[in-house]
Amino acid sequence: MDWLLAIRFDLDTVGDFLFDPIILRAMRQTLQIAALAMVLGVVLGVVLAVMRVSRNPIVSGLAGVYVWFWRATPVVLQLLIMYFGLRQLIEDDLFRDNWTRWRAAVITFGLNEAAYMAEIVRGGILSVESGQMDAAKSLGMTNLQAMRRVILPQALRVVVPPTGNELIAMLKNTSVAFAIGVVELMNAAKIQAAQSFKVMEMYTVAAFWYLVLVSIFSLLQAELERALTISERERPETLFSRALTLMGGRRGI
Amino acid sequence: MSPRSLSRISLLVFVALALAAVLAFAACKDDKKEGTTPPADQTPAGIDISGVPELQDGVLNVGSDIAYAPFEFYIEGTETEDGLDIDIAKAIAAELGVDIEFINTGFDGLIPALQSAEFDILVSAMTIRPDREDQIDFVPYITVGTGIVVPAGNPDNITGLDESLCGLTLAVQVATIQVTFLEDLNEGACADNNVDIVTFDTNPLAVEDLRTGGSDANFSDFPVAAEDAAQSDGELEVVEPQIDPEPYGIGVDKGSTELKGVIADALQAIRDSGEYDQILAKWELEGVALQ
Amino acid sequence: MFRAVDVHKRFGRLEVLRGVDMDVARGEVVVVIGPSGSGKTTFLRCINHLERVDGGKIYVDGELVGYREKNGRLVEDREAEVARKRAAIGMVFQRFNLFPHLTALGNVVEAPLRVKKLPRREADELGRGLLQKVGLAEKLNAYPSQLSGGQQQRVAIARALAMQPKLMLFDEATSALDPELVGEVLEVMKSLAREGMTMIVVSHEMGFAREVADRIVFMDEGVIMEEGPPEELFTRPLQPRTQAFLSKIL
Repeated sequence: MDWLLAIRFDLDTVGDFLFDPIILRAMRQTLQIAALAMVLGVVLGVVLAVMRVSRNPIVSGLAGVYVWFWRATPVVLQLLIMYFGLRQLIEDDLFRDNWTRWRAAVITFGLNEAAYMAEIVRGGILSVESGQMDAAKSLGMTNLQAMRRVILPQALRVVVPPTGNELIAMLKNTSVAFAIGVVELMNAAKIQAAQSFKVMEMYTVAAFWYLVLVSIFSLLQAELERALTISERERPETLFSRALTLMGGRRGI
Repeated sequence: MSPRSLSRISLLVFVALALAAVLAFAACKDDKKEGTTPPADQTPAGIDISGVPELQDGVLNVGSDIAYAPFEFYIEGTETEDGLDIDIAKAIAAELGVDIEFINTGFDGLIPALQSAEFDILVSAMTIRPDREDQIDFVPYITVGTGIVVPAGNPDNITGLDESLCGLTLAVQVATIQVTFLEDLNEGACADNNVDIVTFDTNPLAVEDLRTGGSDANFSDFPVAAEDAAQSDGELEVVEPQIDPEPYGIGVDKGSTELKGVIADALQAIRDSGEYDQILAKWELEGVALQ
Repeated sequence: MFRAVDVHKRFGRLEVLRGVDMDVARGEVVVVIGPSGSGKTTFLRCINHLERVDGGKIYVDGELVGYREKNGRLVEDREAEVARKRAAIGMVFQRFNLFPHLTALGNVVEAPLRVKKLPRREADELGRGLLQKVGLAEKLNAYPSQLSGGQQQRVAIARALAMQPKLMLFDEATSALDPELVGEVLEVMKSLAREGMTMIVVSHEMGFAREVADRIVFMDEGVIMEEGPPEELFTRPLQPRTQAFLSKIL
């Protein structure tokens, strides 16, 4: 058991930094960037998906090119181009003052995410049986009306699980923003590790918080999926719903 | 698709993947063979390396963050290392009669990697600092100070590591001594008007941030700062003089006393023979000679 | 009020409709019968422009659906126009196609609310009335998954009627139902016919056809082979193919 003595790990450091303001502030950065980028990505993604399924070749072609481009290049490269690249090209002061690294990160992640969301939502749209569109059209709805009121709400159920996945991936991908100088959870830990030489300890702190964040989101996603299931028979059980049952009755939740 | 054609396609896919895996593995093996044999006319200066465990494989493995001209960098368009540190390391290896191999590692990961024996020594323009000395041992080899790179014309009138920096945005590389300097400044002279410290994985990215106006100045080692300014087509300049010259060290893991000994001997040998001065002169960095 | 002239439709290389001509007067009930693959469903879908025609014209109440005449040629209409004309034609599908995320009432009022922009109260009133008419007053707030097939189809009929169409199309409306549920749907269709709705019904239900149809149309291989009042067609079919088909199902 001698090897146990060879393990250098300072639990106290972990305790000290777990709730350190630098770390917590960085974690907030991670959440903010991920949340805003996700919103942009989902909204734009839905628009792109509807464009992609359009019969108009120009409309679907444009969306197709967008998806192709933003999925083909690595995010870190996109960040470098969007931030350093654009700032090099455009020397205008007004632009440079407003195009901060933080905004560039949020927008780049959002535009990137939109390409992936477009494919997810498109898959969801295609999963809705064609009879639904037939019925909507025969009632006199336009394509857009049918999308908004009939198709997309049904696509939602299929879209939520992969979207949850994307959000979790986004939480972790924000660490790449360090390439343009944005410090979030992972790199805050990395910087502290470099300054203190307590490498493993700092990474443990970072890993802990990522685990917490992802776990919370997973639970929320399960609840959302449950809420979206209309038919009683197919409704999945979640930790939360089981706990509710245990605590005594559900009263139709 | 008929079952037979489906299984035929599956077989093809499997073969292709297997081939790819074999090729990737083969390429991996080749990587390890990069190194330089010491020139034939350099005879080892009689340093006995038989008691040095790390050198028994006949190779001196050197860890370095190879993105820091003129100390260590890749020749443009190639994968060949060059620089002041590179030349000194090669000279030392020649003195010891061993081959040399460089392992490119992010600066902030160098010390942990040395401690876990991923390489034998580190040579990466690393300042000798008490907190670093707690972690590893050093053999001093040059003396360098900090340089400040600013946009041409020094629009913010920066005079040095002083109050002239307060309130500005400074770009630095993660884990460098420059980060510590600036943090000290924020607790001292700039306590009421902090410097905004923006960190990057590599120094070139930090310089890029300065060039595109995201930061007001960039801190790095003086020779690096001077080099960046020289390469900038007149966009950037360096603030003179260099600040707080301090010794830089070749890093050795704390347990490797024999290795440290022979490295120190080899360094002394090339200083005695004049090769050290030749290398410094080649890079026009006579000013960084060890005091 | 309905006229189809020499309608052709091709899917790839397969010509499904090879020149269909049909006239339907206002208030008339036409039942279309024929073997599968004869083009009955495709013809119905061409009427409200769910499918494009490759040749010929279809007029509903004097207007072309889905097309405009421009310099003697047919040009496809703008989407808003097509939608407007479709609203005047109601369609009931074999698989109901109810919107699963809306209640029965929700299904019925959706189009009046969004397409006709009816105020909520009016739409609700209209919806309640229609659901009552099809015998589902107590199922207003039920979701489709909570309804039987027959109930779902009746909601679908109410939904189509909510747009106050001039023409109703039924595409094998009872074929997907369990036998004991067929009757309730046929009852609704019969009362609709009695009220004077113009209906084109694709169906296998001969009893219904005999009772309610003004005319039976026999389609085979993309054309209308024979047509006539039910009594005549069923008892004295003229074409051999009609005879062959009828002998299989009667």
